[in-house]
Amino acid sequence: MPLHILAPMVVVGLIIAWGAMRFAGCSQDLRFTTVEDARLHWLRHRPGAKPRDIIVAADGRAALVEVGSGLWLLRSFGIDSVIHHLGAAQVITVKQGLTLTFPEYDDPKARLTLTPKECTIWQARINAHQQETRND
Amino acid sequence: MTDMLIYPKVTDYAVPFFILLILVEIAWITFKKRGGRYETRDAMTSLFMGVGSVVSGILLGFIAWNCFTFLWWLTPINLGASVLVVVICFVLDDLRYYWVHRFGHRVRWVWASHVNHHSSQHYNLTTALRQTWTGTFTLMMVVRAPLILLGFHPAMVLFVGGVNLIYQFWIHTEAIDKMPRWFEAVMNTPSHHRVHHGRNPRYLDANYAGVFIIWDKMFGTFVPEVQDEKVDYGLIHNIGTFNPIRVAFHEWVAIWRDWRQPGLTWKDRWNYAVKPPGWRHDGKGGSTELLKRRHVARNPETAGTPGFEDYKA
Ligand SMILES: [Zn+2]
Ligand SMILES: [Zn+2]
Repeated sequence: MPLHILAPMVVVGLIIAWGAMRFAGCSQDLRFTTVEDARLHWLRHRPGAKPRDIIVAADGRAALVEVGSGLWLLRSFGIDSVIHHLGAAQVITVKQGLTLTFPEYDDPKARLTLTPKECTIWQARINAHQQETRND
Repeated sequence: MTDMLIYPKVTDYAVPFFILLILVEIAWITFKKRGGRYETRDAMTSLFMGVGSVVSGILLGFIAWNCFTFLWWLTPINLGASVLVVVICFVLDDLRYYWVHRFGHRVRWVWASHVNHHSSQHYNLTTALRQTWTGTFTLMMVVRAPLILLGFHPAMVLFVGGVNLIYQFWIHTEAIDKMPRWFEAVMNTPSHHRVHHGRNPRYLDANYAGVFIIWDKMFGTFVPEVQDEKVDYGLIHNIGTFNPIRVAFHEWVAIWRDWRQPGLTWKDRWNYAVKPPGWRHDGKGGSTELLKRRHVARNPETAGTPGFEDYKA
């Protein structure tokens, strides 16, 4: 098929598909409603690693999860979730909360919306964890 | 031999049907409130991966094509282009697909390309189009060489490969539960391929088939979808980006970073490329076998059931 037909067809197709999904309400974010909810999401990623402690952010889009292997971030990713170990995270304070950057190419950054009080707690937890792993 | 044989680019002509069926699936899920899930950014990423894959084919396709024309010039055999020959070519090419796909999961160098097809936590028709941009670099075109040397024209080999990919489009859906029994026995189906996309220990490294599921049954990699274990889609380590560039290249970057670790031997570097994904030179890596073993240890009642046939509690 000539490119001058294929290319516009693809572009139009992409726009229609995007519109259909917006219209069908497919653009919501996952929220962890409770600690238990966050725990279930965590266990989906790491079935063997029982959390010792979980704190869920007030906006429900992120949680700090402590397990045997250290401190992890569980965050909403579309209507799914992803996890990331916080050992090598760089923490930057921004107006709406914290921005975490990671060395991994497949998950380079997480923007967290946190209250000022949460910011202090989360930052302290992450720092303490990183200190601990350095001392090991 | 250098005679001309021209087939239509079937994947191009399938594009409008792909779009139409995606819209039908979105509508079905929205109105029926079952049969799958769609998320805008995830689905758009999958579609962009599909577009990028076509572009990569236009830019790099000549490499494989030149190899194939060389082999065709080399071989003294020409099987012609009768319908029977095309059918045989299709079946043999599907066997070729099975092995390329199996390498795609068991050899990290090939996985680096194929991983992006599995990088979504969703399973819908857009997931089918989440295709690699870096297939040429895996050098897996060599697995097609025997077909051409046996006398199947390169254009025919690419044509049946295209039909194979089109077949696999419709099986990427949760809207269809099971097909008729005879069909499930012979053909790859939504149910069989859902298993292939699962990250549950039970479903790891199973159902590599393209069109005919019989290859998995022949080579011992078949696992049926188990009624009481819903498939959890995605990767063992799910990625946290919707950026198509990162989706396309993340495992290549990971290989590069593994190679650059201090204190490696060249044998370690070789192993980082050819061992199954998860392998590490310090022995601390994971593997499918380890995940299955741990699962059976936690859930002894699963020992001996589908996907855990070789594991004892
Ligand atoms: Zn696969
Ligand atoms: Zn697939």
